Amino acid sequence: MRGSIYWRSLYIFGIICGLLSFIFDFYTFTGTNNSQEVIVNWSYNLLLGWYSSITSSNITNTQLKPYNEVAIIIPILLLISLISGLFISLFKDIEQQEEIQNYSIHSYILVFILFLIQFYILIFPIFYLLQEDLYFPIIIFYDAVLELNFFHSIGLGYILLILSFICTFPYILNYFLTVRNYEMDIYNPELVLNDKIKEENEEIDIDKMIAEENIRIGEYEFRKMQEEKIRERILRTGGI
Amino acid sequence: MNNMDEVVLEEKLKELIQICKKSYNYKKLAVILMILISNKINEIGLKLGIRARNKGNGESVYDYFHFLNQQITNNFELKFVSNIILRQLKKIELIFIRKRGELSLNQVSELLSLYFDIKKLEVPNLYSKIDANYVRNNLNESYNFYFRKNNKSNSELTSQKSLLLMKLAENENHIKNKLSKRYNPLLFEKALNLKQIKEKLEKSNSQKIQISGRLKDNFSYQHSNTKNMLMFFIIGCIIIFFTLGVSFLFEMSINPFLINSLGFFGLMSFGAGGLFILIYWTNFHSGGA
Repeated sequence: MRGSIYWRSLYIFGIICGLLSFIFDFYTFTGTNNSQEVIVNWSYNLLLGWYSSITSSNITNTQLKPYNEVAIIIPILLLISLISGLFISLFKDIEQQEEIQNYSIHSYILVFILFLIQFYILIFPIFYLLQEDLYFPIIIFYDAVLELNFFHSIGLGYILLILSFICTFPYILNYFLTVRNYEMDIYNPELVLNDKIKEENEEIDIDKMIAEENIRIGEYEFRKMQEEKIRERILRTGGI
Repeated sequence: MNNMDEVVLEEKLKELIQICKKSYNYKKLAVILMILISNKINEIGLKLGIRARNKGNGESVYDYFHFLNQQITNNFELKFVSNIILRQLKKIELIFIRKRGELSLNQVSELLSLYFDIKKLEVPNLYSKIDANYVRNNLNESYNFYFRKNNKSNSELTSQKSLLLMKLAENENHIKNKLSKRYNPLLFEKALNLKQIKEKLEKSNSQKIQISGRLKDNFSYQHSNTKNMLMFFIIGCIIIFFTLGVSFLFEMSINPFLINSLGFFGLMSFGAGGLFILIYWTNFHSGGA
């Protein structure tokens, strides 16, 4: 029980990390000229999308604004799932429930959180950032055409989402597998149990072993008989 | 394994014993008996809803049996396996490993009697549903009184509930006492039923006791659960590091000029992923859960 509290706390910490990733920047890129003046600055926030801290009408900054954005429905879904996930762990924890089969919808919500986090960790950089020539995790380079030093970097939001995935994964997988196994058990517990026993136990073929031993005994008796025959023949004909 | 299979197996075992005695091949007999014992103990564990023996990690039959015994003792304060059986198993397994199965006839017969002793340890079907009629059929008059009369006042209900709980606890203790002396599968099942009813009654606010769930739900598997969670945590780390590694690899393949700067990150991600695979492989591989 104590151990499960630790894992649940870790999960809640993960969910909080996920929620905090909405506050911090997910990705940022900055361009500075030779006199260290910031000419270009764009940051990506999960809810706000791309935004710039440069308010003046800087043409270079406006021209370099990335246009690839994730549809707003996805971060909203992530936010709702994270809040639901928090609610599930606090009020619908699997260890305190008896009718586990009623919790399959909760388990799917939790798994959905993992998919959405994976989307932001893997799909977003590959299909949204790279399309705009935005590099990750941290790159510093000089653009000779624009004569600007660029700094591309993932933000704290991205790191918090990675942390969120690691912390929530054990609890979610345990929740999902418990519900799934319970559902399987409930339909035909005897069959599931028998299958499991068959799978885990070592198979032994006693018939084969009996046959092997019989052959061994047969061979031994045949050899003994042959030896006896030879001995008799020698005694009869050899005159010993 | 059903009764028919058990009978057939016993007959075949008898035949094999006769033949092996004739051929003096006691090693074969020892190996077969050891497998049968291991299978039987595995079956007990799985029937209780606990993990199977972790052969991949080299968990011995004795260690696993000892673990099962501890789980049952922790949950119900009963003596499931006698220390004599456990000691015997430990001794014979050690000899078996040291001599690589080359046991003497005496040791083989000891192993055989151990197998039959373990076979006697029946566990109830913990996957079966809790019998709601059990409450009415097995509990005496004072319990019936609780159910019979409707429209009771709250204070009346509370006092009767605490009386019923007290009686249930008495009954449970009585069974536990009996079980602590000698294991009996029927009493064990009864103890599980009582525990479940008691818990339901404690939670219930009305006159009704909702009976649901299975006997297996009475068990708490602390050890296996913590181990499972640790395993899931490692799997999570493997997934995340490989995800990062793949995204860096993809980035490098699109922009080869980034290899110099991203190579380090890629290597670190795959390296960390590989390290977690190694940890997983050495600790949890081959049916640890």
